[in-house]
Amino acid sequence: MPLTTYTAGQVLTAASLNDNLSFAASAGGITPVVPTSVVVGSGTGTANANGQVTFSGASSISLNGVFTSTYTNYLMVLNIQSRSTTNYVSLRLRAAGTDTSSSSYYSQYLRATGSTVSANAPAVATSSEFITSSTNAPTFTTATIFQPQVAALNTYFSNQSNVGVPTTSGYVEMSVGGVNVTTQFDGFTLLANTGNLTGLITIYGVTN
Amino acid sequence: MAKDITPANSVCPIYLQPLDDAQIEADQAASAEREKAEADRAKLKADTIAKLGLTADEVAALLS
Repeated sequence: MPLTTYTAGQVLTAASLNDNLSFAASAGGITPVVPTSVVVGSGTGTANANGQVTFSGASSISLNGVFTSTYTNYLMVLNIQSRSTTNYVSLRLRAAGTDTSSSSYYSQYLRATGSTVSANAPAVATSSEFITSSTNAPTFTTATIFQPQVAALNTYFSNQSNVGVPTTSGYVEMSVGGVNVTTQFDGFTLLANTGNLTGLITIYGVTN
Repeated sequence: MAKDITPANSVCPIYLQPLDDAQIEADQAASAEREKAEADRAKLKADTIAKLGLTADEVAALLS
């Protein structure tokens, strides 16, 4: 149904309102997704009604049930407000509450601090490099996760991070990667290689 | 075994499930390998610059 606009004195019916809500829901944009559950390797977590997950002191943070057949692609907004020590963060995809930890992950990163630029494509590994700057600085990341639930297709991601700017002389970083298996993933895990992370994370489904 | 640590204000269950020791060991081995590769690369770069007798600024100028 097309969008209905109303004039003064016109009676608003339930059917018309519902049609407008359906129109708005299908009009595009992004929609926050509430995980079905969250798992932390240490520390604590909470999830609010908008799907924002708050974690504290987490050596790993897993979101289950965020990827469904409703959306093809997803956005991740991640605020790592503090790291307990100098560390970096890798990504695993997971299904039915279990990480895929086979040696199937590929990644390529590009990062710069000052005038020093570094890039590398690590060997195939049991997780993808996600935030590679080894530091304890706060880190703010937006990432896109492509087709994690689509049958018979690999899952890809790309992200960009602000690592510690402006609070330290930090890094600008981009990384891309994926997992070379066609599992229909419903979640993911972020892992600190050592220590733990405190922050916020929200996943949004991108309307098809 | 996952322990339910869901606080009252969470809209979905939160579980605590520390990674198993074997997984941690494998991850740490992978981390050590990665750090060694990066250190080797940085050393090769520094050695090459030293061999050329250039300053870092001069190298940056050459590559820009």
